[in-house]
Amino acid sequence: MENQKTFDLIDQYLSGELAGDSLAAFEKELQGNPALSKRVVLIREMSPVLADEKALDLRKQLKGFGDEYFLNSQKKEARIIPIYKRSWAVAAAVLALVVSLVLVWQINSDSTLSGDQLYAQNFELYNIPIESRGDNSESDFAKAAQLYDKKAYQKAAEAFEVLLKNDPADMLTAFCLAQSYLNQNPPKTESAKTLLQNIIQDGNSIYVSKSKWYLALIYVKEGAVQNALDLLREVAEEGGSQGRKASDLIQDLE
Amino acid sequence: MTKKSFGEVTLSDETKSMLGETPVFDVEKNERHNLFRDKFLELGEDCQKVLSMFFNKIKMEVIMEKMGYASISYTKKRKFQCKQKLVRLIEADPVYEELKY
Repeated sequence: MENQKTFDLIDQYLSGELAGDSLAAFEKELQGNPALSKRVVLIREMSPVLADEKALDLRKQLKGFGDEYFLNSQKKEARIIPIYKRSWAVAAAVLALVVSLVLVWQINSDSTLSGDQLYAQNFELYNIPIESRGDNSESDFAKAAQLYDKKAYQKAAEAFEVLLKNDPADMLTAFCLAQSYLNQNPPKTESAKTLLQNIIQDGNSIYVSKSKWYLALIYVKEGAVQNALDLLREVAEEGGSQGRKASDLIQDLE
Repeated sequence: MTKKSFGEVTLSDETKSMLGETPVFDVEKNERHNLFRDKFLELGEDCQKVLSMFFNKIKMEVIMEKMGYASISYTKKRKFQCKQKLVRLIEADPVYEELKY
């Protein structure tokens, strides 16, 4: 039960990614394997709790205050007598809960996700569509796209740079080059920004809206919230899935 | 019928269902969640970052880039190692046995 495959299967099961025979086999295994079943219950409960970074920060702060009464005595007590059998302990726990809720409320009321966090949450890898690569898989564009597919983003960028130099008006190449910059580690946002601004200014390609989205994300990362909001509102007005994502991000920023 | 023992008292599922979310169950749940958080905070900084991004449903590609890892497979391996360590820490704590569901 301790191998990576099992943990991956649990993750897939809990995220609803398992289907068909794989799902049936896993559910059968769950029925006959109580240890696995307990592990699934633990991970299912644990995951959303630990996704709450604010509550984690709060817990860290509380531990930092050195309040040994709340944080250490409960362990000692639990080993001897369950905490809920002692009325004073229940009262203390309820008090701790109330204090926690007040602190969480305060944190929620005056803090937001950082630009980097919002960027990371919203940035998605752009897949260069096969149909845009032409019929000739040996073409320079196709070769650059293949490097991009293999996540060799720096080499892909070099290949797209050559192509763009030969045809500066090719907005598809400009967009793919911008993506190659953004996917590098660390992302070359300044270079990508110039390209995306050019595509938006050109205004004649199907990549205008996508460029606005990615440029807005760069602005979010940089903390230029107003610039980001201006672009996101334009994307939101266009509707579709990207428009919905833009609306969600506007809400987060506002 | 499964039963859950609370010291000398044993509550059936039906009784528990009738009681609903009593303060006792709330306290237990809260204690369990705090145990999860405490064990998470015992992990190394890298593990905390990886798991935090994973629990927030951030894509593996992004986690790989943020952490500066070389490949997706290595990122998945780190996620597994960290999660395994966390689960073992939780399960090994006697408090977890006391507070179990």
